[in-house]
Amino acid sequence: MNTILPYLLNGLQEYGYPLLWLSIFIGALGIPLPNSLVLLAAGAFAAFGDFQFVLLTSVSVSAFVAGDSCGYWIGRFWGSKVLHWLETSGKVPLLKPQTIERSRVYFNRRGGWAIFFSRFLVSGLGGVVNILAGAELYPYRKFFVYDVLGEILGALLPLLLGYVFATSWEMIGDILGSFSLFALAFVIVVFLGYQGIRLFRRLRKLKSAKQAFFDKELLEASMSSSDELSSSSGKLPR
Amino acid sequence: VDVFLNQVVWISRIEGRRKKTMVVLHVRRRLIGVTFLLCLALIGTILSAVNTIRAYNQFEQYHQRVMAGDVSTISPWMTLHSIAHVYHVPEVCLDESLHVSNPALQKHATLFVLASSARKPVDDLIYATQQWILRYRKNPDICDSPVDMIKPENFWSFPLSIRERGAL
Repeated sequence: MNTILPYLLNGLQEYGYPLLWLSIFIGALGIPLPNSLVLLAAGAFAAFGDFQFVLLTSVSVSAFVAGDSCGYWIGRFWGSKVLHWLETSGKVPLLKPQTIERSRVYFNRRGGWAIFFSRFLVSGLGGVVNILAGAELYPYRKFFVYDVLGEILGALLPLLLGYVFATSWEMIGDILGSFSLFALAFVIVVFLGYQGIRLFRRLRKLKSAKQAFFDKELLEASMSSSDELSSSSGKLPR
Repeated sequence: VDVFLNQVVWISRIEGRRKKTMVVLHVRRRLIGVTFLLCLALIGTILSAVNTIRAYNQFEQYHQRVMAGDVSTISPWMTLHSIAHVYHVPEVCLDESLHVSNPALQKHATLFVLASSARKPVDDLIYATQQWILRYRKNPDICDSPVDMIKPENFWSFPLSIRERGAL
């Protein structure tokens, strides 16, 4: 069992919904708290009649959205300044202004999915994605919509599983943790596979272009040497 | 002039050839790097998939034990209320037998907190609860004569050997 979890669970029993809200809010800011396990346990407690399921869901979703929004605005106020500094100062060799600009364009195009999936599939990345979305100046309205949709799933999934399997929620937590890692690794494999295929195609194209260049060169060289031989004007330069 | 121009053409050709070779080498190097990372990610994916399947199997076994009412599934996070609910024992009777008279503790304190407040290992309390449930199942009349277990002089000196726990 997680070290802090027994205290959180006891707090949940003792102080109820306010503590749940606070715990989820702090976790959503990016501070590592076992919120998925707390939600599973809350679902289990609801199954024993200690909490109301609907109230649990609304408290959880509101806390998640509030925490995520705070993370977003922190990123927007401070993260964007840091990015601007990185862009202009050029002190970090790997982060060129073009790279930052490219990431900004990419996040604006695909960031919605990253926000949505990081709410429930890879919830450990949620805090980072919030700050990144703010720093990349992703529109708040779009962020809010994707966030609410993702968090409804992110709160309902563990609560429902905890409610249905009650006493076995710890085991469900293990499954969710392993599955989350699997999903993350799978996404990385797909991304790297795609990059690998692109590079492989580019390499083939370059090789054929290089071959064509050499063939052309050879042809030209043979033609010029035959001309030179016929006119006996001199040797080929080395 | 012709020789000079000829030389310039050849130098530019050699330069073009060198550039093309460099680009091919650069792409090849990147491809090797991506392939290496892909192999690592694949290993990670396989390991996490195996872990997920293992966790699922463990869950299935555990859930079957819970459904069968196996008392070894009692955990520190459980409250007396949830224990009574899961193992089908009367809650009042469980409270009385463990001598938890405070109504707030009866309803909301987890076994972890009950044990912490008595400054004793939680495993001892779990063991005592398991024993009580087993006794209750054998003889439901136990409710009428609560076992004096939670009082420090009685409960916490309850004989607890590894052998007894194993036998449970």
